[in-house]
Amino acid sequence: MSEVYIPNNIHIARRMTGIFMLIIGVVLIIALYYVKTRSQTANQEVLRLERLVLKEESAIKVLQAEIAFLENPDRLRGLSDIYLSLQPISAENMISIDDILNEFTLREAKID
Amino acid sequence: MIKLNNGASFEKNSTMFLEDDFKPIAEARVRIKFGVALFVFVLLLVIIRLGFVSLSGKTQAPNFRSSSVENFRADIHDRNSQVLATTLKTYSLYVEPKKIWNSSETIQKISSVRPLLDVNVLSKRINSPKSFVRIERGLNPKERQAIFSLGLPGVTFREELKRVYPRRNLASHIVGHTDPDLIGTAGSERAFNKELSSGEFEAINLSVDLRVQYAVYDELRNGMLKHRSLSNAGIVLNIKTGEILSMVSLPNYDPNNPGVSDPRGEFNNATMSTYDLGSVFKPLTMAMALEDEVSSLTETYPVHKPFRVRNKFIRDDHPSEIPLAMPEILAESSNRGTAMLALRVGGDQQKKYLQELGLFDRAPIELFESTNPQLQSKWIDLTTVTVSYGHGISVTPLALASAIGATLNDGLYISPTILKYSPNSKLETRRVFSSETSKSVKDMMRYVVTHGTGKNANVPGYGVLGKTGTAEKPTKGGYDQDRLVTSFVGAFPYDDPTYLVMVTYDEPQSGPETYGFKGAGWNAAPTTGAIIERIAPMLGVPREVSPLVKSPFGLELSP
Repeated sequence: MSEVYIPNNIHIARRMTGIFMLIIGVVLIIALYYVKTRSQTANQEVLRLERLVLKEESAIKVLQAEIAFLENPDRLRGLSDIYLSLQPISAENMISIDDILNEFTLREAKID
Repeated sequence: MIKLNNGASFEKNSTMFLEDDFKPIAEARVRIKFGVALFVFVLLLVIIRLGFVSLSGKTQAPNFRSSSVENFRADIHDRNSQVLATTLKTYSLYVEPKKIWNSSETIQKISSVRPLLDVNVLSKRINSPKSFVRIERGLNPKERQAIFSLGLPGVTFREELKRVYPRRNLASHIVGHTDPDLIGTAGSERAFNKELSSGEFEAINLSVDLRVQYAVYDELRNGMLKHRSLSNAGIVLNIKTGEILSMVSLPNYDPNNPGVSDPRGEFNNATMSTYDLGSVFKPLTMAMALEDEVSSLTETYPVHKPFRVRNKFIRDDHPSEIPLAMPEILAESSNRGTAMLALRVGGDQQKKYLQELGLFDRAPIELFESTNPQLQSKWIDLTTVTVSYGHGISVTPLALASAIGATLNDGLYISPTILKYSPNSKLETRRVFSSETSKSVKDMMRYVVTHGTGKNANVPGYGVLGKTGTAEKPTKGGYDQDRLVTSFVGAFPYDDPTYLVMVTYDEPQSGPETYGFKGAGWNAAPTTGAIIERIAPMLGVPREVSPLVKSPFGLELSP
């Protein structure tokens, strides 16, 4: 039988290196697993938030349509007739700033 | 010493184990055990992690986007971002008949929260042999929740997108509607279908101003009741940009339920009905005469004498006893005077101008619903005469509004558009008349309102200019005296005409308020005046309060 063992320090060094590499390998595997699960969770979180955003956006759309429906001029006019005593404006109610002085002459201010 | 058959020999040892004699085997066995331990360790990690995950109770949501993103359709807004059309999620109710436990209980419970459903149809569907049957669509979240909380097996929902028009009838023809698959079939929904479904835009802004649209709609609605017309139409244009600020045609319809109301409601009279509009053509003839310099503003014409072309006598509705010059011809709406002017212009030039004013083509808006005019195939001198006062040529109200708008807009024709104009983009204009011609026509149209047939359209302080048009509808062999199409084309302010308002009534009737008259001065003109009074403040046109009314040709009026 030929020589198999090398009975000196190299042998122990090789063994140590081997074990060391093994440990690093295991650690890397665990680290990879850890990172992978973390990124998966992050991805799921992103999808969840995106779904929430879509839900909010469609809720906003519903509210905007509701506003547009409530602001229907005929409806507002009906409500105004019931609750407010406002009348439609006629042309005589409109005046430009320049004409104010012509229409309404200056008068003395009353000081108490 | 022990000798083997293959010649190897070794020292005999006292132990039984092979490892003591062969170190490599020992080491190999250690390595194997180590490897197994490592594997078991990692396996344990996975099992423990699995245990944590399954016991933590977190629900796993589906890893895909909801379908509403693929079916995206942009909103349609007016020029101030008011919502005209939007897409909302609705729910459709489905049953899977095989999964229903108790069909009569299911029927009874569903009808209790959806009372409007036909019970016979419902039970037929629940007992049907199909595996998936739709019961109802268009449910809002509250209604869905009501059914959901019944806790019935075999009852499911699907989300469907529905196109919703919150303002209903207000801008029916402008917005149009879609079919249930969200493809546009009328109006802007159809015209811009590609852009709306492309996903590039959040919303499309139309040129319409809903406040102006409501004013026009309200006045037309009142007018149609008051004058008992078959239909009417109203248009408001910004003649400087071609934007359609308002377009109303009555009767109209609710795009949320197309096909439910009057089928005439889907017909847009402003762009699809062609009429012999009558005297509203006269300002165009005046412009042609001035542009070709075949007449001056002061030359008089013998409109008091009978006038015949070929075998037709031209009649005036308000016959004059003295010769009239162009401003009075327009103010009194004399057909004879207009015919004489048109004959001086000549048929060829007249056709050229009408072509450039866009009256020989359909109004070039983006909507599909725009009809071609009806023209005479032979253009003889009699044609020139009748076309000059708007007979023998059938055009849509929008086409005429754009033509008058061009005449007042310094003589520049701009295509009407339903999209909001952005100041960055360049306006395409086509010069038809010179600035001087435009100014003269503007003065003459002001004179019509201050001194002529358009008095009922006047709104003090806004400098309204315009022209009436009362036309008899053509029938077999002539014109029907009792069935009229009346119009008024108005513009304001006088200093710088920016907005044009056109109102057309189809067969208005006379009544006690109109003293038995049903000409344009009694229906179309006051409606236009009412509209202008309402929309001028919205459009930022200041009112001039002045004791003197601005009037051209050197005349000033005091109230």
